[in-house]
Amino acid sequence: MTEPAPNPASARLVISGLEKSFGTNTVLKGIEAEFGSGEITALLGANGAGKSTLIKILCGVYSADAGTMVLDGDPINFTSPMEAMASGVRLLPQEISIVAELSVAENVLLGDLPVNGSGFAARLDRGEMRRRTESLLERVGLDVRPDIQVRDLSLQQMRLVEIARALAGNARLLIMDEPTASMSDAEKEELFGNLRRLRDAGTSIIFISHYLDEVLAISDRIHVLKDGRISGTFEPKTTTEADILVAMLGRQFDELFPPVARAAQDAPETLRLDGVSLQKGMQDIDLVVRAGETVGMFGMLGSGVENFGHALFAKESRIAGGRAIFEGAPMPNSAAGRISAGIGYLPAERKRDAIVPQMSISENIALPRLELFSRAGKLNKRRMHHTSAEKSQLLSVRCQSVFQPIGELSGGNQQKACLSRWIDDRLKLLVLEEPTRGVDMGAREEIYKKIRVLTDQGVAVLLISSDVDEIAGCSARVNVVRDRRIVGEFTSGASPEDLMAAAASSERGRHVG
Amino acid sequence: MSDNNAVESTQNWRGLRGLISGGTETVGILFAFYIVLVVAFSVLSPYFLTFNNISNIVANMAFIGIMAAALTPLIIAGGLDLSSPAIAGLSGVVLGMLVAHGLDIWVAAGLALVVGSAIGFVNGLIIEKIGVNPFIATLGMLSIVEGGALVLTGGLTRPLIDPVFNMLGSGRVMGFPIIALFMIAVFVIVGYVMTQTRSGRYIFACGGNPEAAEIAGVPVERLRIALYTFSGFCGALAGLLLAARLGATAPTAASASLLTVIAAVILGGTSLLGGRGFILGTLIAVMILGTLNNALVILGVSSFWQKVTHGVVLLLAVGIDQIREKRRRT
Repeated sequence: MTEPAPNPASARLVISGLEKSFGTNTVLKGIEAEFGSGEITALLGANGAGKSTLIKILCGVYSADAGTMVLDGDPINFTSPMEAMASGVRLLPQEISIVAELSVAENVLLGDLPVNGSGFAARLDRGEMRRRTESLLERVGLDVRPDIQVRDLSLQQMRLVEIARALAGNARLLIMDEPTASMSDAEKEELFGNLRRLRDAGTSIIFISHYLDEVLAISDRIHVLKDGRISGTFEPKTTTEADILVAMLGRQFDELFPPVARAAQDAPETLRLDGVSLQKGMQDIDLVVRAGETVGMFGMLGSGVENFGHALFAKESRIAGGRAIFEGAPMPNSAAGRISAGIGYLPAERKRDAIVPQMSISENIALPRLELFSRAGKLNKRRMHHTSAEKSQLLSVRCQSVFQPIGELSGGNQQKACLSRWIDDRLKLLVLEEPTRGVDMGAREEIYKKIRVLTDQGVAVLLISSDVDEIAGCSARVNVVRDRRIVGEFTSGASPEDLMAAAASSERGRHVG
Repeated sequence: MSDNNAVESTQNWRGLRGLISGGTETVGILFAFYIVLVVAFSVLSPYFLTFNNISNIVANMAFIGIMAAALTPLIIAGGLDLSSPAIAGLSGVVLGMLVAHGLDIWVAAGLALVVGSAIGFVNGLIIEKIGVNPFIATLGMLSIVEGGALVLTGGLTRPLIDPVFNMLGSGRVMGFPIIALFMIAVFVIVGYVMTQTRSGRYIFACGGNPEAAEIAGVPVERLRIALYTFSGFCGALAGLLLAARLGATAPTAASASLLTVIAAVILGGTSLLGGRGFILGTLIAVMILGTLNNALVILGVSSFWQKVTHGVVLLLAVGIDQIREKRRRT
């Protein structure tokens, strides 16, 4: 320990003049930003603003073309992620990265397993592992035994293990990319408590989120990125969501949700579920979606709603009982059958279930409907590319060209491309599962607008989401799911609070890890 | 802001790009390397760059090329087949035995192709329906097929003399080896399917992300089973042509070529993880490996060095490709 720092609120990380280009595409155009020590700094920006590039430079994945970074007074220029970690800069990525076959303790301490002895003779010190893991688990508020296998945990618990692992490395600067993704409010609050404690103990945290309320609640300072520059720095106490949105989007942000579309009483029933039960899933579902309306399905994680869309619309439908009627006839069981009947499905797990990352945007958009561009198996690529380019523009997918691999796009643009694949005159029913998860504000607004346009054209939309504002803002009717059953139907007047109350008030009490 | 970019690029799009499916760079580098080899060897030996010698190289590599051509789309689709060289051996044996029992040689050849396809189909069923890892399943099949061929023949090599049939292996049309025409035909068919058809896009989708492909309505299982069947068919075809060329049938005639077949596919730029690959790359890689063999023989280098050079070229090519890939990403 050297003498105490002259100014406790001094900057942990100072970035100046940071630039980065990929080919002719300049992503960062001179970033100037400070991140205080013992401070939670939020980094906000629409898709393509340069957020992920900046983070990758901070973590040593990319190196900058120009500019300097100073960490606690020392200039840094990481050439590998290992170097960044050794200097105490840790990234907690949005995607869960955990070794499912190892125990909780092994996962938490993976980078630094405690041993007795040295060299090859060193034996794992299981007692020490247990003690250290227990204390770390306590800090993240996860009550599980350190020796159980991670594969037996829920997705949320895995997230907490991951956070504990990041805490185990002696991070000076913790970069958390959407750490609250798919967490309940209670867990978020708990996590925020932990983050504040960490901050007060001197750790700097860069917090990345698409949720403005979260950002305002947790951060001490907010940097907004737009088009490769910092377009504004805010203090949460003296700012409003509107100010931040203007800095993010460069315009006044008035209405996120367009007015809700309501179908006529006699509009035809596009989808009807009569007492449908799913294998290992929801039971006795009665549901009607009429042409020209959006029907919401809302429930907490664990209510069964999270598997509903995948079980019914992804592959072979896993129906154990009841009848699914599409336009008056039994709904086709196979994916191909449903697609040709006019049912589109946007899965929640985009990377796992929707995109083929190596293939071009054009091919990804056209994939479910390739037969439209082929005669006797021969593909008319020119027509395919043209149609895909048009579709991608309907949702203003930002890309160099439609030949770019879709894996290179930001999450929001990938999502817009995945949604656009279904938009054509054959579409009758669109099933959207968490359509705006991990998607920035600008893309969200466009997606909501597009949903509205589709319902105006007579498409029936089934919206399955755990985002209560989204459900309340978009749906003509909302089915609330609890304990694997629909427990109530609300009309569009219902407030997010009503829906939340209906979904969360389980008789048995909600189980929190 | 970039609203018009997408459509503009569509209009700038040219057919050639589609033919090699974005692999311009990889294929270009491979081709440049091939040219360098040809130039170097023709400087080193006056016998190298003659029409006769070059067509010999192609003829010698044809049966390997046929198997590599079938393996390329299979690996891109997320599969793997180690059994096709064993199937090649078996198909020669089947042909020889049926002919020995008095069957017409062309009918016998047709039956051998059916047997090869059937084995490929069974591979597909085991892998796709039961879910056995393709490496394990086809390794097992390799052993069964090769063992079966040895049992049927008692391990003996038998002559196969039929002037017309042998022409397939060693005959020439206008100086060009007939066996090479077979290889080129297989490459053209596979190339057409991979780059110009709907099934071609499905092949890439199923290797790139089988989960997403299935949800998008792609018949992942059926497609892969078809590719395993095709690989079996091509193994049998390669075996027949090899038997015709050698004028003999031997149970393990093609077994030693397994590594060369896989090396050609990987050297050609196909990712073992699936989702990425180029048929033209495989063809050039086959030529590179054949040229190396040939040149070493002409230069009087021991044939044992062939294996060593194959290994070095493979590691170099894949290593360079990885380095380029890393650079591109950062």
